[in-house]
Amino acid sequence: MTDLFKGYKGAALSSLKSYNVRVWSEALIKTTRGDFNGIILPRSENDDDRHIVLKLPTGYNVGIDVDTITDMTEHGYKEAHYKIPEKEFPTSPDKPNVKLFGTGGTIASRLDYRTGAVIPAFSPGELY
Amino acid sequence: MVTIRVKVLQDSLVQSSILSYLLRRFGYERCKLFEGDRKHSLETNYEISKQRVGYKPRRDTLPSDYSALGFKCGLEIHQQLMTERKLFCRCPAGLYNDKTDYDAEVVRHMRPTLSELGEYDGTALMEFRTRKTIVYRLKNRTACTYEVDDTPPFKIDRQALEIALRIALMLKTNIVGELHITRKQYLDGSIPTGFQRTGIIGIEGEIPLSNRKVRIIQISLEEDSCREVSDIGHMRTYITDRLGMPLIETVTYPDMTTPDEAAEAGYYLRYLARSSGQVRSGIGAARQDVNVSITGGTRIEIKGVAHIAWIPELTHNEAFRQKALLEIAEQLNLNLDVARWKLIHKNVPPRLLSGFYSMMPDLPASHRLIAVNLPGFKNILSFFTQPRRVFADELSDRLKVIACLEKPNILVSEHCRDELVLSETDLDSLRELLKSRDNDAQVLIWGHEDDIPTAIETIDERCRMAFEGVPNETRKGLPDGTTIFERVLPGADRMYPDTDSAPIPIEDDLIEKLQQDLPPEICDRFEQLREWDVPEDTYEYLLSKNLVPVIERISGECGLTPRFVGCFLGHTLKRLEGCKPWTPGFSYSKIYGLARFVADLGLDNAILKEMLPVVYEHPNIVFDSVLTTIGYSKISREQILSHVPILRQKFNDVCTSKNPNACTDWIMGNLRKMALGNICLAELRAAIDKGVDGD
Repeated sequence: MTDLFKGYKGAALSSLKSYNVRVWSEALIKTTRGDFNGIILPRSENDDDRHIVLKLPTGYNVGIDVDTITDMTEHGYKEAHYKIPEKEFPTSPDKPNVKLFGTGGTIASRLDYRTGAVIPAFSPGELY
Repeated sequence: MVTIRVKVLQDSLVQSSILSYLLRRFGYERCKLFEGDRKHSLETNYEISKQRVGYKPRRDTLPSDYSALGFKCGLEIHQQLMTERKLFCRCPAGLYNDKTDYDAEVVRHMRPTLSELGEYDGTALMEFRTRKTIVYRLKNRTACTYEVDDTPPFKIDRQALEIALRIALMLKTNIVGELHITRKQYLDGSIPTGFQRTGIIGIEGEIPLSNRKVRIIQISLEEDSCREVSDIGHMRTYITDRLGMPLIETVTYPDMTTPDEAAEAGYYLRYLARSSGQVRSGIGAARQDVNVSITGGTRIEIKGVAHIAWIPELTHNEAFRQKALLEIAEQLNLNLDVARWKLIHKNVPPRLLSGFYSMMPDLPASHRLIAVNLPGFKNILSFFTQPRRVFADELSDRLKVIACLEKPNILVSEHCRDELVLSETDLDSLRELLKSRDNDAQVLIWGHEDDIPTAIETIDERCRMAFEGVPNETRKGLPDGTTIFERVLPGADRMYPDTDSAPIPIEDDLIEKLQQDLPPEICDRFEQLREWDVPEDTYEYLLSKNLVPVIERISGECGLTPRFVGCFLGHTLKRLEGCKPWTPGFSYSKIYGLARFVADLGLDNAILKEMLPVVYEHPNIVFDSVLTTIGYSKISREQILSHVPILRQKFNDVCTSKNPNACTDWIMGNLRKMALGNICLAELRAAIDKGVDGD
C-alpha cells in the first residue's frame, strides 16, 4: 500500500490519500495559486512533508504546497522505470575476473527517488 | 508520358511564366527542360519552385495568407536579471572580459546521459556524433570551480529568485509551491558541466496584445550559458564570463497568428521585464527563441534572435520554408518509395574532376572526395526553400554542423548559386562513375576521412526526411531574415532532477510581500502615455528603457508636463544616445537634477534641450556652468519684446518672401537664443503674431 505513495509522509501523504491520487498518476491539482497538471512523482524521504512533486508536460518538476490544494483528481497513470540500457557483457573463460570499484558520477548512476540522490549502476551489463 | 520541350528564352520573365504555366498544366515531372543551357534553365527551377510554394515578400503578405498557411508562432524570451552574483555561486555577475583575455583553459568532451524517465534526447545524441573538443576560457574573477562542476552548487541567489518571482507575478502565472532545480542537458558545449540548472517559477499566465491575449506556458529561472568564441571543424571555443548569470525564460503558447503579432508579443514581454527595473539591458542581455509552424509542418525553433525587429521577417520566411519542404515531400512521394530509396556513394580520385581540382588544388592527403547519387532527386536540390537559398543548403548546413565539414563543403548537379554548382565536365564524369539516371541528382562532398561516414549518413538522413516534410530542428536566424540549421530539436527527455539541490519552498508570505510592490501593467503604461499625449514614436524607447517612472518623477516634481518630459527623453536623449554612448557618470538622476535646477531658477523648460548635450558629455559639470557654456544670460520678457519692432522694420526692408509667417519666423530666429530659458518660445511667437510690441 505504501508503494502507491512512494516517499510521501505526514501532511503530503494524507493529502494524496484523501483525494485518492497515487504516485505515477496523471493528476490535475487545483490550488489557491492556480491549476497544475502533471504526473505525481515519488518524493525523497529527506524532503519535507508539506509538498507534492509533479512532473509537468514540459518535463520540469515542481512542488505543490499541500496547504494550497483545493482539489486533486487522477486522470491517468504512467509509471516510469528508470534504467540504463544493458548490453550483453562479453566474457572469456580463459581470463580472470576483474573487480570494479564505483567512485560515483552521474553517467554511471541511476536516480533513486527514495533518497533523491543517484545510486551507482549495478550490473556489468549496465556499466558496459 | 507527355514530354514538353521548352527552348530556353533569353527573357527570363517570359520563360518563367511559360514554365510556370506548363508546370500547372502538366505537372512538374513532365516538364523536361531543354538542356542547351543548364545554368539558365535550372536557375528557373528556383523561380518555378518559388512560385509553386507561393512565396511572397512580407510586405505583400496579408493576415489571410498566414491564416491559409496555418501560421502559428510562440516565443521563448530570455532576460538576464540585475543581480550582484551568479545564480549558484558567489562569482560576480555582469562582468565581461575580452574574448582573448583569460587566465586558464579547460578542455572537455560531452557524453549524453539518460533522462529521469530513462530516455536519450535526440539533440544530445546528435551533438555526441559531432565529436567536438570543447575549450573553455576562464578568468579568475568571473569563474570558479562551480562552473566546471568541481564544486556542488551554493544556495540559490535570493535576489535572483525574488526578481524572477516578481516578474512571474506580473505575468499572472500560477506560482509553484516549491522550486525544483532540474538539470537540463546541453551537449553543444555551451555549459561545461553538460547541463544547465533551471527551475520552474510559475505556469499558465497571460499577456494582453492589441487584438488578443497570449497565454504563457511557464517562466523559469536558470543559468546563462557561455559565449561562443569560435566553432571550426571539431573544435569549439567558449568564454565563461557570462556562464551562470541568472536569467529568466518566459515561454508563450503558439498563440500568435502573424509575424507582426509575434513581434508585438516580444516587445510586450521585453517591456514587462524592463518595467520591473531589475533586469539587465544591452547587447546579449535579452535574447529570443522563436517557434514557428504551419499546417502539415512542425515546430521549428529559431534560436538566439538578437533583435525583436528581426522576428517578423524570420518567421515569415520560416513559414514559407516549411511550405517549400512540404511541396518537396509531395513531389518526392509522387514517384519514389522512401522504403526502397537508397543513395549510392563512391570515392572519387581528384584527377577525375578537373574543374573541382582547379578550385581545390591543396586538398590534404587525409581528405577524401566522395560522389553521391540521389535517385529521383532531380530538381529537388535547386528547389526554393528561402530567399536565395535552396534544398542543397539544407544538406550543406547539416554537413557543417553534424559532420564538421567546413563550408564550402558541397557541390551539386543543379544550378542554385555559382558557389554550389558542379562544372559540366565534372558532372558528366560523376554521372558516369555513379551510373546515374536522368532523374537523379548528384552531390560531391569532401573532408577528412574520419568525417566522411558521418557526412554520408547525414546526407542520407536529411534526404529521407525530405519524404516526410519538415524535420524537427532548431535553426539560427540571420540578419537577412533567413535561417540555417543549428541542431536537432530537443525534447523533454533531457531533464534530470538536480540531486545536488534541495527543493526551495516558495512561501505565501514572500508572494504577498512581492505582490504589494508590482509596477503597473504594460497595457496600462501604453494607456498612460496616450493620455499624456506623448508621441507614439517614443513608446518603444520609453518602455524598453522603463522610463515611464522617470517621466512621472520629473514631471511631478519639476513642474513639467509629462508630454514635454516624454519628448525630452524619447527624442532629445535618444538622439544623443544615437550619436555617442553614455559618458560614465551620466544617469537618469542627472536628468532629474537638471530639470530640478531649471525649475528652481524659474527658467523656461525649452532650455533643457540645450543644456542636456553638455551634461551628457560632462556628467559631473556644475549646472551653473552649463548655462555659461550655452551662453545663457538672464533677460526680462519686456527687454526681449522690445527688440521686436526694430527687427520687424529690418525684415520689411529685406523681405522677398510671400510666406505670411516669414516675418514671425525671421524674428523668432533672431530672438531665439536670447529668449531661451527666459520666455516660453510659443508665448513669444504668439506675442509677435499679436503685435504686442506696439505695432
